[in-house]
Amino acid sequence: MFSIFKAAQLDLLRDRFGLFFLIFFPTILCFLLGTLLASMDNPDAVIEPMTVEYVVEGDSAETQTVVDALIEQFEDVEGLDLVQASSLDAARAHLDAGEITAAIAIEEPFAIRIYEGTDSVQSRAVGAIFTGVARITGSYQALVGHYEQLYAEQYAEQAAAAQAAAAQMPQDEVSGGEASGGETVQDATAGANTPAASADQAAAADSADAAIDVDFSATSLVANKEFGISRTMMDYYAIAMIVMIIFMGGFSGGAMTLYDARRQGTLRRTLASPQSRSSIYVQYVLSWVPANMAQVLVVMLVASLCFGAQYAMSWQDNLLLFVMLFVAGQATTSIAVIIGMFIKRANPSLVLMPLLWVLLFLSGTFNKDVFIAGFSQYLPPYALQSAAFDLTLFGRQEAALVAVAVSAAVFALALAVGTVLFNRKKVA
Amino acid sequence: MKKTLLVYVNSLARLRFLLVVSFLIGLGLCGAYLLFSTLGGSQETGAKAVALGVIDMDGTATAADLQDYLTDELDMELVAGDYDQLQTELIEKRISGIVEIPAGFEAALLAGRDDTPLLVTYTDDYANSAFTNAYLEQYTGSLQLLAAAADGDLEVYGELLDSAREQTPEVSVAARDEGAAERSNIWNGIIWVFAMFAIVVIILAQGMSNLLFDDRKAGTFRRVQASDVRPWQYIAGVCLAGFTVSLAMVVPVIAFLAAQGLGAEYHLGVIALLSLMEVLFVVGLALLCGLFLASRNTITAAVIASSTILNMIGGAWFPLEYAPQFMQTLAHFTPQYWFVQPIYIMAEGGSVNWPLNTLVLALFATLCFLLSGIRFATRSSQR
Amino acid sequence: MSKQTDNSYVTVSGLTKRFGDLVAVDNLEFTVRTGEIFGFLGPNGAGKSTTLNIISTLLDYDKGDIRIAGHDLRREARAIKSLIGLVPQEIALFPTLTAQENVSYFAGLYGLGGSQRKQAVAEALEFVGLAEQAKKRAGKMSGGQQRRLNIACGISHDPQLIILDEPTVGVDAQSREHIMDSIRTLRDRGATIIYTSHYMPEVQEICDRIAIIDHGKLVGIGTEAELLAVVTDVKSIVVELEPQAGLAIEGITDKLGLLPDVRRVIADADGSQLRIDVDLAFSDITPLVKVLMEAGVRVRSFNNEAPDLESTFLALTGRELRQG
Repeated sequence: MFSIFKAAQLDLLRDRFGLFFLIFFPTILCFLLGTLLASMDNPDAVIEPMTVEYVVEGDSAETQTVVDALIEQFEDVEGLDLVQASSLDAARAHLDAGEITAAIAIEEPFAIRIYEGTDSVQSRAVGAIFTGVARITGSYQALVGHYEQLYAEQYAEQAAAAQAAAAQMPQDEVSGGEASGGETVQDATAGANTPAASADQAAAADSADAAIDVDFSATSLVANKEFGISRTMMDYYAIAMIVMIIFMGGFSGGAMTLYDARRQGTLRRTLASPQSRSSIYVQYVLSWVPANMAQVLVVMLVASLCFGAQYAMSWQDNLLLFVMLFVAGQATTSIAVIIGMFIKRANPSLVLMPLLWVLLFLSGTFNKDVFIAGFSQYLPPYALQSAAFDLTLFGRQEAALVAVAVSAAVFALALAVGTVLFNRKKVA
Repeated sequence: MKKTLLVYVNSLARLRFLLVVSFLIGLGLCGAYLLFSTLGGSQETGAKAVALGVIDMDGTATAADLQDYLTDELDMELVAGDYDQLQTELIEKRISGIVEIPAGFEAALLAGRDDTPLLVTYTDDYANSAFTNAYLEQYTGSLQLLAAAADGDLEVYGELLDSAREQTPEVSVAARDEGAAERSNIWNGIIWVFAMFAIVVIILAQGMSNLLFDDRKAGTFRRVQASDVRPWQYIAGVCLAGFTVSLAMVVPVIAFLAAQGLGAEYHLGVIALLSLMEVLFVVGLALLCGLFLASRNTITAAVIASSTILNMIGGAWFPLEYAPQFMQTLAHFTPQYWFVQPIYIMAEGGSVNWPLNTLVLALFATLCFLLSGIRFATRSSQR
Repeated sequence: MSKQTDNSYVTVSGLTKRFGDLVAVDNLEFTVRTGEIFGFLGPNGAGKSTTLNIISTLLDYDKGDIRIAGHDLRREARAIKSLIGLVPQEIALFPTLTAQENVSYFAGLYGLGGSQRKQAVAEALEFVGLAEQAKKRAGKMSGGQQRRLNIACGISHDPQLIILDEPTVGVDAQSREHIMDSIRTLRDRGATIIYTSHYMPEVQEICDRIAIIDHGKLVGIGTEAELLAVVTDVKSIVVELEPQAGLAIEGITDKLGLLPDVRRVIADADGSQLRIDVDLAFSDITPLVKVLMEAGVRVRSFNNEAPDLESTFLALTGRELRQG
């Protein structure tokens, strides 16, 4: 009953080519990746300390006030050095020479013109900082306007109240005397260009200043939340490598199953035996179970024991991970055996390899930066990797369980379809 | 010459399927260039906008204003989703951080409380988190100003917010180099294409090696040896066929890039020359495998192993700058290093000693051809 | 269990098989008697392999009736499979498995298990003379050893009908002799054997009866003597010539062909040999010698060749090269 299964295991253990791809090659890959990736867990770019030179175009007191406030703001900021240049041309010359990060021209009425340097990361940082400055300035302007209006309203109320009071006073007191409020009624009802109105504008600006002057540094509205999860490059490729081996090894190996048996002549002989075709086919497919288990285990063990790759936190999750990858491998093999049934002339492995390569490439298996939004996430290798990372990084089991269920269903369906097709094939 | 041509034509006829496959792969590489020059580089290199995940649980005008500020003013890309989804995006480095606007943020702001702050999550190794925090602090600082002035009055606060937005001075950028992003994208595409080429072209060697192996097994190789065909004629003929097959992959790519208008600035001539030398090495390797190895399976193993391992060590898979010193030294002994590294250097704006690289690749190829020739001739003399 | 009621083990009647427009087997009829070694011959493309594949249950057929040990092939294929041992022309072995493991595998496929299988394996290896190479991997064996192992794999389950498809291709004389002896022993033990080969002396030596098919049809069946009797009014005289430049061999063959009782004269390509087919009654070679001397031909030897199976085969199937 298990002759085919047993023969396949003996064949695998003695076939140097098979053992090479099952054990030696993944181990070498682990070694190379582990060594190469060990130092690659660095950010691609870091914002270095920046020096920005600025010039003020115009000489109004208002602009100067803003500039002074700006300088004060950045005095304590680490990583940004703000220096006044003698002229814009001089600043740009320094920029062209690479001596500074950016040059700023502060225009009248207040606007900022930034001249960027060659480093786009630094330039982006400068732009963001001064956009923030502009926003604060806009808030300030809003406050000034707000307080101006407030005082104007307040003044208008006072004026109206004074007028009403005056209307009730005796005529001679109105025409010659002073109003009870200390100022003449005429004064109170005069337009804004009186010394009193100017004083209110100043008061509005002072109020705005006072509002801005409040130190909010002790009351930050930005809090950092601990992510607590890290994934090194080795962690990524420890999963990606298994997926690669499942698809490339499982697919090409599965496709070669019947091709090799046909070439050896053993398929014909096996079919001539009293074993049912269904039994023969099922045994061919199931004979891959130990190899599929082994290929997942080899990479998991070598990557984690020798190169410190992190899989899941708990043994239960690691077991689920193993089961998911193994069942997925078995599903791919079962599909590949069907394909191999129909490729007779060419080597099925060579025919399928380019397609598999493209599939894996677009799934980010070879390089984690490869991701096409709206496409990659629907590819089976990507989905498998994604489910694995959900499990190992976040402890979320749902995607992994779905992957197990789908893989098991695909495996069962492929086995059934393959058995039917195999029964219908006329000659070995 | 005639005999070489005869061997060439015969070998090419037998490799015609591979010729077609090679050409199709070349077309695929052209498509890959379009894809990777459009996708661009990573956000951390400045070629792409910084992306942040946003979870708005407040739904107020302030929350909307914050998001508008991040997109319109800071040119960031915002990605919506729930926390689980955004965690995945974050670990995949498709976003730099997650910003949660908690429910009651605006209300707390108006009340002058700081107990409902924005919650920002970064990966543990995100080095620019301080700057991203600074941008957010600047913005929330401006909100605090307005909230303090509104003194708890939501309507007044709303008016102040609108007014602040309208009165925000313009920040204009006179970019030094308008074309920098485009150049970065183009180089990104070039690097991807030729790194993939280095990985894939060596697989074509398998077809050529199998052809030679089949000759040995079927006995036609011995027949050729027994004839008056000289070793160099046989090797030249087979190699030319292999060369033609590999060229069928690289020529469409070079032609396509040239048609895209990539000229001297992208050193296309140097890249084309180095590609040809890489092809020459691959042909030599195929010759070695086909003449020395004992079975088709061994050839497959050797080709796949050398493709993966040599390309990894040589820097076609990952940049070598972060590799340990011994690996960087080891890389010099791989042909792929001399092919791929110049492209990386040119992409960074550096200059490359291309004659040296060409010479080294030629030496690798020559070594393979020499060994093959000796093998062929040795068998002849042992008859 | 056999359901046969006469001494025919295999009965094929009206067998027809088409592959598209090609009629590979055309209304073929023959029987194989129980316990005989039945030779099944035909040129390339004659329909031999198709017929054997059908009998082995590997290929379906369009029309006809086939019974093996009384079982109908179409309805009782499973029962028939247990009775058949197939030894294919190609060496169908697992190169990485040992001789023992190969035989064990195929024995297992036929339902043998446990100690029964072990015994069967040992006996099969002993039978083909490979008991001492039991632990040797098939891929490491010589061609002759592989051929013998190929046979062992086909007989380990003690089949009643053994189909041997060119079992001695590419083996040395010793191995061939061993294989021949083994086949005779199998027949003596009661097996029925269908034997194909392109090597006529072998077929002559071992087969009890022979069938010759061509273009899917049976063109001759019977014992060797019966077949020879079909084409036995001719014998051949082979004349070996010394090399001579400028010899007008065509003129010589024409003159020889005009002699009485001479049926046919064939010269080989380099003019070193003449084959002259004459009536059986022809006995005096003097006229032949005269013609040759007059032509100035120097003769090395004259040899009489009695009609044999090969010439019968060629007579029945023709001398043209086959495209199959």
